[in-house]
Amino acid sequence: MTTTNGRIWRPLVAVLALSMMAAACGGSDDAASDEGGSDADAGATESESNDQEQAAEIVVEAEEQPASEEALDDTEQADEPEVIPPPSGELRIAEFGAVTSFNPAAVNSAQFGFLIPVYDTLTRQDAGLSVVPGLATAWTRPDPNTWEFTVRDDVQFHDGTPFDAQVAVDNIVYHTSFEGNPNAGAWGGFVEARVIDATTFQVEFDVPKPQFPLTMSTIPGMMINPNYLDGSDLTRNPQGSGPWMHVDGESQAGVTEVYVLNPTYWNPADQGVEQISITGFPDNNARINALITGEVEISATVADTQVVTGLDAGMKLVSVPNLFPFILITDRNGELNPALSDERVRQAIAYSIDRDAYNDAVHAGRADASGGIYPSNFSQFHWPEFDDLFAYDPDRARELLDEAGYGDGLTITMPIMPAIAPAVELIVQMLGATGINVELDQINNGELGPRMLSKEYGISWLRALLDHPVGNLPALAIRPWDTFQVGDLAPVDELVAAASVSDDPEEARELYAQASELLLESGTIISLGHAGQNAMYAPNVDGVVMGLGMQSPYPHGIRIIG
Amino acid sequence: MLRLLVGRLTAAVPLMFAVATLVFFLAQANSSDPAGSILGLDATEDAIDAKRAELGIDQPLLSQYGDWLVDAVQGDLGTNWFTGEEITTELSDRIPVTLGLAFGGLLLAVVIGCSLGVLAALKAGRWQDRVITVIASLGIAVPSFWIALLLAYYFAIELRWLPAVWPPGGPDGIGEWVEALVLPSVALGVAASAAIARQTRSAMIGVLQRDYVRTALAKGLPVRRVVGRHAIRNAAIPVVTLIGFQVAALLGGSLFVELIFNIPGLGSYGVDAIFRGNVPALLGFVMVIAFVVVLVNIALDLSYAWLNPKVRVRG
Amino acid sequence: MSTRQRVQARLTRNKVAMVGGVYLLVVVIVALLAPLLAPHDENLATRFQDILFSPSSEYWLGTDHVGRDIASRLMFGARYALFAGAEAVVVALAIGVPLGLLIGYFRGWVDAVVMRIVETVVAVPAIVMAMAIIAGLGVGLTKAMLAVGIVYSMVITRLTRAEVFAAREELYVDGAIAAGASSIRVMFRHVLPNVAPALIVQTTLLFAQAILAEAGLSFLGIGAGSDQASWGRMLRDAQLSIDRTIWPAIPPGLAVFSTVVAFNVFGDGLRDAFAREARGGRIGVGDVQRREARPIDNEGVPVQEAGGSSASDPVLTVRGLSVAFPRLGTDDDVEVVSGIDLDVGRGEVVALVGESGSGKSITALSILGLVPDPGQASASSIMLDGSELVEMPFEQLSRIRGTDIGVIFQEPFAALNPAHTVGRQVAEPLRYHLGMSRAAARARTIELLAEVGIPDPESRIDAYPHEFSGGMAQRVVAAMALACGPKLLIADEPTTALDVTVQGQLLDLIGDLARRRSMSVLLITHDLGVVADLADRVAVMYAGQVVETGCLEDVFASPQHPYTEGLIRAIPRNVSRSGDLPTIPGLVPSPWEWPDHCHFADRCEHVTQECRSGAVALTPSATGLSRCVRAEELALKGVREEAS
Repeated sequence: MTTTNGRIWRPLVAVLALSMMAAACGGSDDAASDEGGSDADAGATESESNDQEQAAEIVVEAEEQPASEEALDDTEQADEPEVIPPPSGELRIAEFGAVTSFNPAAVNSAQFGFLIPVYDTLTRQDAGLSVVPGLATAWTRPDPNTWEFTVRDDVQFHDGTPFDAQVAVDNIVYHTSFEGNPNAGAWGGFVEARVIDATTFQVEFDVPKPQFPLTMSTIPGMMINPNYLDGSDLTRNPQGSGPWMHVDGESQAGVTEVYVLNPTYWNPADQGVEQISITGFPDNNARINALITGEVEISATVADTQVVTGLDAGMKLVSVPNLFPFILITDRNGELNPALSDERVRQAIAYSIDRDAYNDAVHAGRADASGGIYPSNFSQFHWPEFDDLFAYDPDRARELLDEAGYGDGLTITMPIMPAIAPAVELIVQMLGATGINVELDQINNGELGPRMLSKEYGISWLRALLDHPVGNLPALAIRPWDTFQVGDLAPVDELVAAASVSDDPEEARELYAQASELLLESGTIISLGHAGQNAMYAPNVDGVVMGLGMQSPYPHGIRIIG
Repeated sequence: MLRLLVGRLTAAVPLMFAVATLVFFLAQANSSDPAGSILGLDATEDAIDAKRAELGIDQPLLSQYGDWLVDAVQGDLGTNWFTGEEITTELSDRIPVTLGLAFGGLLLAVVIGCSLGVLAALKAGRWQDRVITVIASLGIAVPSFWIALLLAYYFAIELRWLPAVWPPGGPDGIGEWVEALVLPSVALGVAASAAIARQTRSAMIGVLQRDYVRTALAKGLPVRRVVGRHAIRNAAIPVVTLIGFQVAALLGGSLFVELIFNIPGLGSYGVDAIFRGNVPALLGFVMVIAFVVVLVNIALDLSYAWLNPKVRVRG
Repeated sequence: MSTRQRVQARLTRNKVAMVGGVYLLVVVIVALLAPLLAPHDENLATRFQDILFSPSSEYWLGTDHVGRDIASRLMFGARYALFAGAEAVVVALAIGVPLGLLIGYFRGWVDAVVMRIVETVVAVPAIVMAMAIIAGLGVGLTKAMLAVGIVYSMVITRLTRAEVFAAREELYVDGAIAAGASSIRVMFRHVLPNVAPALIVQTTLLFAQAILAEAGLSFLGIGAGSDQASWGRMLRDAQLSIDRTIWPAIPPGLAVFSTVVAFNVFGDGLRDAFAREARGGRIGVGDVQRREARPIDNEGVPVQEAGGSSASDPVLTVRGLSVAFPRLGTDDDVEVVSGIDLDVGRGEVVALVGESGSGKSITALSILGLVPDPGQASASSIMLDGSELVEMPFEQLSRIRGTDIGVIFQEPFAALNPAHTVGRQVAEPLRYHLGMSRAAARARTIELLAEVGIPDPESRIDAYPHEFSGGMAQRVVAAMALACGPKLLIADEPTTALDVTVQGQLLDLIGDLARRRSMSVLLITHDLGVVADLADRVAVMYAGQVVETGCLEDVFASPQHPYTEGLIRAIPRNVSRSGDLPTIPGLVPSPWEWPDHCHFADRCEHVTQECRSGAVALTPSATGLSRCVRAEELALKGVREEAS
């Protein structure tokens, strides 16, 4: 019933992946499109045939203009290469939980799967995790802090209202002013959005936001019908322009959401199925069992330990390898536990961690047990010298503890909630083996973030979604996580800021490496390895693509064969 | 009789509210803040405060309770803090599912339990009785969720004979309903059938020792007739009482079974509400449960009247 | 033996319960010695890399998902199980008993308020209520079991209250009040011991339920925490790895299961040990087995009621009827009826007379083939109007029971099924044996009811037994017995349960019926007055044997056995006398105390050495048969002599 995935990382994603808090960085123009995503290697998955499928998929999606520097001013539309078969069948998806709201301004990325059938985003991601056109056909950067988007002119919302640049601008204003928007961090530094003409608009920030196009492929980029931007309650009433429409009458809140075909959708190639139903399966075993026994076609948020079961049963895997579990030590000035103020103690904790064993136990050996912040499949930001950083060395750990004066043992307190219990329990074992006694504090799912932020704990297991160091590095340990206001990581901010304005990718890389080194050597961030976000699907399902920040694949383009 | 029925039903209403009141004040003692959980990690202080105001949890306790009560007596159980849906709608969608499950479990329990109990009583002291008594003693000791886990593992995953989970979107047609209910009902009904078997056995033994059974035998009637016509009706009363208790136990057990098989019934609704601190949903849930239990008790009392003429004449 | 010793004895004899008790003892020992017995640590894996290992010599039951030894955790789990159960039970008793005592004793508005609260809590399933309480108190094993204990206390309150109510009715409580004892003292000293047995049983069973509850709540994650190796917690952990291996779910599940079973069987054993009523008993059908006619006395004279004083046309002849029951706690059988011979002539009323414990009712049941299990009847012959009943197949015997023999038992309301109308019960044999239609049976029933003297039979036919008075109910029973026109009516203490005023009427009725229908009657009674009214012949039973037979007048006038003399002498008569009411000194010996010689010897005022020398046969006497060696020489006093 509990899972290593699950509720914890929904809010985490909000903070860590997309709450690229203000401060920092611009990015070079050259780096613009590339920074939006890791390179194609990141699309590497376990299953080779998967790659073939995704490669094949790219053919279909090639009608869209890839967002390269050169192609920015051409909006060439490829001709439809072949006749598109009509949509057929019902796609049944098993998600972890239930949708909390159908208002994109009110939900975090965990709700993506429920909203993406009905809402279009400005941009999308392809199988290679690159940013490709969605509602926007092209985007440029007139100046480092401003993005200019060109949008399609043939899009209608489900009630027939047309979409244009004004609608986009109104949406951005809505998103940025919505009270309690969990994605507020993604909009950090927002100054203004303005219409240029019917199909062009600009968004200005007070800092460079190189990952903004990528951000626009996720929930903040979802466009809402302008008639409903007036304070209407969209909680159970999605108003989008997407390939499917939500049918409230057939849905059961908290259980199953049902979507049917949008007959006037602007890209019929996306519509491979007539109907989608998404059902909540809070129990991990039930969720994978549903896939294995044929009750659903796609199972979202599949833990690594269950992937083997799925594969054995002939199911297929799509995986986005950007999960980064780690231990965060915020109490570096010893307010809650004086021991943690000693860098040697923090390093001892790091040496006590056996990443291989963690990988075996928590990720069934499928993860990458390297010690840096970025794994090797983020080739642009991977720093091989960190792979073996703080490699498992319990003797060294005991030495350090002894030096620091805790040779007789040490007690620390960590929070534990059901969704992350196996991971934390293993950490308890590892620390226990070197003499560090961990007392666990039981909390409810969903409470980890708020409680850490309110300084109830000074050390905890956390997990981040990686995409780009400009956003990730400060977000991991500084904003909002410097809860004890230690201030010792100011150099990280400086390094990242310098890297984001550098024109030289190598220089930027070097600077990011230095920033990472600071985080890691100080024992603030202790890597537990790198894993993938997994979804599994039945063998008769075709066209499955999943992007960064998603836990279930795009329904777009999926077909059920046979 | 009708007047009695109406009276009992009306008395049920204050009971439901009493239960809800009790639970309301119990739930308040918990310190977790649902507003934070709903909004997620990144919510600002202001957003959380706004949410709390929207949910009404920044009001003093008694006024929160008062507001809820005023709405509830008019039939409005409020909105689910986490899904935004009307709680009455959510509950009414889930009630048939749980009732189906409970009924399945009960049917199994009564059929198997009574048959075994009668058989054991008739063969008291012989090997059939010993075997049945032992099995029944074992049956009431089995945790329902353990059985559910094992059943799901062997019959659904390993053997693929039956579905491991509730069909998403609900079962279509009687066939799918039955298929979907088999494993959960068995998991639920095992303990109940054992308890019913034991009680039936002891009630039957008591009755078989009674003089009117001896008289019936003295009248030269065959054993089957004596058991069927004379004994069972009189043994039924304590058994019926037990069935009433078992219904409450079945509703409790449905919590676990619904979680393991992912059944969208009342049980999983309640567990979710408790874990997330979803107070209005929790109150609605306990009220419905209390009401179902009361209904069952009323049905039991009616059956007493039918079984026992002494009650009938007086009532 | 004191009550406690008796209970203990009964409990230890119950093998299943003792196995349960021993198992519990094992659990307790394991719990206490866990730190010594467990090969590994309870919470820290020896090597955390040893994940989900199968059982091996190092890890007896394998390891869990973080490398901890399952066997060690199982042992420590016993501590949590016992602790959890104990906490819940202690809380339940601590709240429930005082509360139940208080409200049971003082009643009034306190009772009303508390019972409303109890009903409210009980209206919700226990686990739901416990979870709601935990939602308020917070998670954790101690708090969870506190919640469970609170819910269970409602059960204890109701139980205690009910027992208090029952105890209030008892006179001694009133007596204690009258004697001026304070109310609290009354409660504790008088009520508590009565409540104790039920409480003990309930506590044991609740302990089992509490262990199950802990397993469930920990499974959900709101019971034991990560650092508490309870069995429920282990099941929760097992579920996390169930997709990789199901094994970790097995040991804790079995542990919970077996411990709960042990508590249940032990609790059942306690309940049975405390219970005073008879246990077991199949539906009472006992066929009579054949046995050889055996010599009874050392003279080798076979016992025969050789035509003798019985009628020439016997409806019923019984030879050598014995009934044996297995003796509790031993492998022996005990004879409760020994070598009965009996004759009943056509149209004759024979009274079988004796005190309670003489075996006369069992004799009658044996004839019917209804000796209650585990008794076993045997006889060399039981002839009913030419048909041999011994070893007759059950269906055939049933038929004869239904049509040729009618029975009136002692308690009319017990004999009648309270759930059926009297009409239906009387009609039942008519419809079943005689195949009458509903209408015909109804008509005949009305006739029968009229025949037994029930006024307004057309409307009374649809009444229920509880709507009749005792006497009338017994008449209904008589109607039922007569329905198919039996040749023999067996009436076992038919008037004993009735008012004295009504007794005579019923006896008259029986006499009438016998004469009108030329029906034989075997009348079983302890009351010589009844005998005098009705009987043609008398057979006197003492301690399982017939000791004298003869015609009514003869037996009364000149009894041939000292016991008969004693009986006659003890009849209260309306004659002025001085001194104590004459009784027979001593007590009827229990069947296992019967000597090999004359059963009456120890109480007989005419006893000699010869009486104790060996078994005494039933031999012809002046007036019939007698089982007294001194019958001929003694001139025993009868009734007539007194009257003069």
